[in-house]
Amino acid sequence: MESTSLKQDPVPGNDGAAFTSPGAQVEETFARMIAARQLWIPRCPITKTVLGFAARICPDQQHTEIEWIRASGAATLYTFTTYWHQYHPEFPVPYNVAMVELEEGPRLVSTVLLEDGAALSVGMPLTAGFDDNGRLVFRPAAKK
Amino acid sequence: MVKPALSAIVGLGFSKLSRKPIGSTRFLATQAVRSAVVDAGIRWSEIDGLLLNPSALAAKNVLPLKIQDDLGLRNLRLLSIIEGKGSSVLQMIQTATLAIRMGMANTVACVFSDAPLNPKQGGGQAYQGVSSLSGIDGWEEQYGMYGPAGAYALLAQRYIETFGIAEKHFGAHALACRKWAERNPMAFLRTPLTMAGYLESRRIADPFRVLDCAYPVNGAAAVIVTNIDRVAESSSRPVYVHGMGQGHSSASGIRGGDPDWPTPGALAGKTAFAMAGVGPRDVSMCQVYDAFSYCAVAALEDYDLCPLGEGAAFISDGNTAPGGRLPVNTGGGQLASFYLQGMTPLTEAVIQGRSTGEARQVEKNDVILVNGSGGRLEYHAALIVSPHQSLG
Repeated sequence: MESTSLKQDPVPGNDGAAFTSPGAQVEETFARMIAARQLWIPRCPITKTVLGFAARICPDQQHTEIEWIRASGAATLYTFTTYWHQYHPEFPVPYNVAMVELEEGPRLVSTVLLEDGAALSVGMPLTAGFDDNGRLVFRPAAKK
Repeated sequence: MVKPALSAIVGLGFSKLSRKPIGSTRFLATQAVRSAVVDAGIRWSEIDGLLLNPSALAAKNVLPLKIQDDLGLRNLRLLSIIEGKGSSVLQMIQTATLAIRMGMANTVACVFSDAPLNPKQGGGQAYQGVSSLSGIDGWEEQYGMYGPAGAYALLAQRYIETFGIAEKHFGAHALACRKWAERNPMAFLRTPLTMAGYLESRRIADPFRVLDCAYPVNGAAAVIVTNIDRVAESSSRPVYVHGMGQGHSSASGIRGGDPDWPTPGALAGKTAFAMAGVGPRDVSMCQVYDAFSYCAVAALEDYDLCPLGEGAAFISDGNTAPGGRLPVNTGGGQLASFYLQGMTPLTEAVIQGRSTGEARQVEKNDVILVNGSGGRLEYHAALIVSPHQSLG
């Protein structure tokens, strides 16, 4: 599966500047940006506290608006599992499900695309991208 | 000061349990309640409360409030469906106890029932629903994150890497449970298990093999909870409830920096221990909700029965197996006896509290810790029960 790095996939008309949305629309906003092949992160517009992806309100319970900032795409592998039991024909085993921790803090379920023979390890640096199906995926970060 | 118990469990009943279809969830529930009432030796008219716990994974309305009619119960003073995922069964006991203490009811039947298995659906299919951690609709599905196994596997793998433990240490729990199950005639998996046998078993989602996962059955179990002043009405040996607690924290608000351990089970434990006036060092044995082997490790640590990161080694050293100093899941637990969700640990606690465990009976049964957990270790409830009317 080919993946494209976030930075190589700009969406016309979007300059990457932060914007706000109502807290009640956090899932819709996130999904809309993903559909545009962009990964954005929710945070409180006042305290700038980064929120989890399912959070609808800042922990201080004062600010119901959500501010969105563009993710850098850098992440680490927080944990993972390799499936061996075939639950669904569209997911031939083995395949991995990963929980990644974005550089900005939030964690997300995703998958890591690996070269043949490569192994996963907790803490490994990853880079976000999108596959041909528009799924957010991660690949091992290129060594600096 | 000697504190009296909060309530008493005076009846215990099961439906038939089977891997084959043996009736609807609703029908099995009536069987279990009838059996529990007979076991308690009380009159039907004494039942003035009914609490229901269908599986959180079952279809809607499989265990409806109208089951009161199936049981011929009228003028109930308490009737509700309790939903707290894997903590539901203990929440039923807690709700019953609170109602009894406040005078809303005197004698409450609490039942769990489930019929997940049929010729078209084995355990894998029954529990293949996508686990949602993000709360974003369809997010996990696109990565094939099927079944609770995957969500728990993520946490278990993180645990393995964080504390540097060997994967086979989870196997030690499966082996210990199997040893208990060998002594339990009700258990489904009773053939001896070796580590080699465990390691050869089918992989499901790393680090879990099939023998790390609960053994599903069709069936129901019920208990009767009553006021401690009314235990004389019953012909059975009462088991007293002394402590109750809950702890909940959603894994969906996953934000970097949130610790994974201890889980909110620790909060449930603190409340329950304080209420009972005992501490972790006083616990004689534990009956824990172990839908996956790792859950037992987490429970030992959450309830401060061993230090964080040492639960797997504690089990590997034989402490929880027959003859060990802290027996855990003495009927074989959910891995080896049967998976009736929260009723698996609770019913075994009642059996041990009554000293009717026969070949598996643990001599020291003064303080029994029971837990229930669900979600992805997001929802927890705990009970402290004892054969003694007062502790200390």
